[in-house]
Amino acid sequence: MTRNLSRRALMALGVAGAGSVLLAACSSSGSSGSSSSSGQSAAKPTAASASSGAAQPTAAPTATPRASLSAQGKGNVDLFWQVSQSDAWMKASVSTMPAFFTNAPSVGNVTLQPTPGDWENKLVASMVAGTAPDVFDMWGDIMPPFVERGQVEDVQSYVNRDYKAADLADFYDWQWHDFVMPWLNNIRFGMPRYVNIMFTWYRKDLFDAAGVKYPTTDWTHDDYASAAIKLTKKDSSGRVTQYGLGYPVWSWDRYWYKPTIWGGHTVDPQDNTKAAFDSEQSLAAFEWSRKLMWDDKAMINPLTIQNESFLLHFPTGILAMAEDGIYPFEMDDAIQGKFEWAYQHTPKGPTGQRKVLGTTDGTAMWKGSKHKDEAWELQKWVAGPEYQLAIVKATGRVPVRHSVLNQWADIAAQTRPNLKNANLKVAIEAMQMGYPGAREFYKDNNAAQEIIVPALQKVFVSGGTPVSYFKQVAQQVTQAEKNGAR
Amino acid sequence: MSTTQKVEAPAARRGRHLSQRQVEGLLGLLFVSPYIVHFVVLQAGTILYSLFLSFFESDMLTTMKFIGLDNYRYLFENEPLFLQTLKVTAIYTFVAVPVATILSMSIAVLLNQNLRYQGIFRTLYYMPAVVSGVAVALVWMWVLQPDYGLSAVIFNALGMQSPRWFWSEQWALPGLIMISLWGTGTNMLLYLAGLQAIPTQLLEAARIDGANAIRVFLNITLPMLTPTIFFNVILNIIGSFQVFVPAYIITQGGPNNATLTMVLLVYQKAFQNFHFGYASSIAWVLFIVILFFSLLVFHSSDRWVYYEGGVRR
Repeated sequence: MTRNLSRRALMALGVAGAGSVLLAACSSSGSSGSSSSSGQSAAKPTAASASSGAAQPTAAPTATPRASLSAQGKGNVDLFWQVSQSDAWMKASVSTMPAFFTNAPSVGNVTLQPTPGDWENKLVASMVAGTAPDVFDMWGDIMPPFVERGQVEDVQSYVNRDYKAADLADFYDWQWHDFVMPWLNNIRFGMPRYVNIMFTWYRKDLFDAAGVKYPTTDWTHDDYASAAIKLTKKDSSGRVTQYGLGYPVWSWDRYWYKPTIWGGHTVDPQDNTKAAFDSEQSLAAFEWSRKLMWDDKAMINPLTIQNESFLLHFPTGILAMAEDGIYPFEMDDAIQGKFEWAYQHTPKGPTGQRKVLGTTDGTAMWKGSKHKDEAWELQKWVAGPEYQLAIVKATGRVPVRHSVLNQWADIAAQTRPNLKNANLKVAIEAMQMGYPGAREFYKDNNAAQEIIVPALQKVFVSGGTPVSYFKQVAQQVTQAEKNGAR
Repeated sequence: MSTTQKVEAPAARRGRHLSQRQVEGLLGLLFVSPYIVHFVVLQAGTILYSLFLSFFESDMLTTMKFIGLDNYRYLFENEPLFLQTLKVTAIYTFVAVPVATILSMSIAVLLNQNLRYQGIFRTLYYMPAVVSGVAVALVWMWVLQPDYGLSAVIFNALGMQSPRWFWSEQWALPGLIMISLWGTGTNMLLYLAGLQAIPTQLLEAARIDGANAIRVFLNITLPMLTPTIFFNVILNIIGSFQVFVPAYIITQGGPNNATLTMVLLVYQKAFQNFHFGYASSIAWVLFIVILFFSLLVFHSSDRWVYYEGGVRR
């Protein structure tokens, strides 16, 4: 006997199907079904994207814009500062303002506006319209187009005027130098705001369970790969349930430093219009990642975590190690003491060299600002010890001055007892070793990015393409750089 | 004097008397005036400026150099992504539009039946159309997550492996096309209105003549629905060629440019590479492409669109 499906049943089935799609999507929270972290740590969820700009967890797009904050002084100059950080950071910033107003009595009001979604584009639009903020948060990677187009004030003259040798020595050499791009007329495009450095995060519980020794300062990439393979677990169907390592090789701001420690380059040091990632050394570095990701299945593919921040997924158990920035308080919020974990320096490369992205997160002054002196005072304040200390206490982020860094680890561990065993001293050691730093820049970085990002996706995200493909890509980049691509 | 004035006044009023047609015309203009004002004040100027800009090398900040047709020449002769974006956008349009048309019409036909809870079904089917594009994109990213999304559950239940969807060059575009079907509620509503405007006497006459349901649908319903189909197809073609949000939110054009649409290319060239003049030229080429296909559909409409009481040429 057959039963015909009534029209009403068909309609209901359709509605139920759509409803279940929504419910299933809303209930998905990760591979292990664990709850995700709170706070501002989710990266913008973008499948197959390799163009993440910031080397920091950025806020996911939200429907409700965050509120601006303001601080009142007694002067008559109003400053507008576009801030790209969390609410906690903004509140801490405001709390320091009374002291700032003492240093800058002419300032009457500082408005801190959190960066809106698509803020880089809106910044361009506001510059065109003549309404850009006096001071805006930024990092070096995004600055060349603004500097080339004369939109950023060169603060070197202010530095020469206001800083003594002892002040300059308080900044980290590498970061201080990375705020100048020699091929852009040696303009000092900003002042440091905080520093982020890539380290390896590892879960001690998963290392113990797999019987793998904890990483050490002198470990190598062979040790790294070997540990990642041992830490990888699969279920009976062969599906990976725990990846040994997460390293965002598909990301524009992270792919470049492995070729460096293999002895190669991404840009020819003698000619910034020439791609250099087709050398044997660079290809070997790419192959290290490709093999670990696709052959050994020990390095996570962005699809598994929907390209979200490792911070969101590290606590779920899908990752035993992750190579990412240093966000102590955010990690403590996410992990909540549920397991032991720690930071370690990323391993040296086959050449014995160590290199990772160390960011130039800072503030820049818009050239069109009508209150440049006051804007400079604000930038100087942000890079100053008092402000840095307040930020350390509020966010745990690594400060930009040696004098504050000396207290940073203690303050962080006192504020968050769970961080006592997190090996925070790696950040202090990294500054002493001086290995973090900025990428190698092409003459037209955006033109190169437009070609390289799809190639990274082809090899690492989609898979099935050998790293020799980068030889062809390097030629395309060089051609675009030399011919002046649009 | 005063008497003369009293006589002349009504005559003057009679002179300004508007015909019914003129009143309707004025009312029509009144009703569309908000849009006309919006268009003239906020859109027309920028549209013309973008045309102007397309003949310049401009970053909108420092450079403004007249280069004639060079942007267009570069686009056709040197732009490595132009053909790819044209291909992606065309595939998206020519698959999404017919499928959306058939799907939304089918749902409308079903919802036009005399069902219990009809109002609830109509509301539920329309509801996805009111969800913002960004929210829809985020939801579908999880639905189509190939390891543990709903897609994986369904494929696993069938003993198959889920496609990698947005992480695969082959499946990313089909994934985006599938998402586009989520918003068929708007089309469905228009089809429903079209179905309800079909005179019942036509349907009854056909049934009395012995036509079965399929015959009634093919010979009465479908022809009478063609003005609505025409309207929807035109709007969908225009909208599909301009697809941006899902590609921007979900894939940013990847992997390996497999979902790089023309509008996304415009966006990248303008806001990421600071080539606003060049981006404007791409936008105008897209406008020509859309215009071409829209005119093609308009031109063909004489052959397949039936208006009640209309005379076939």
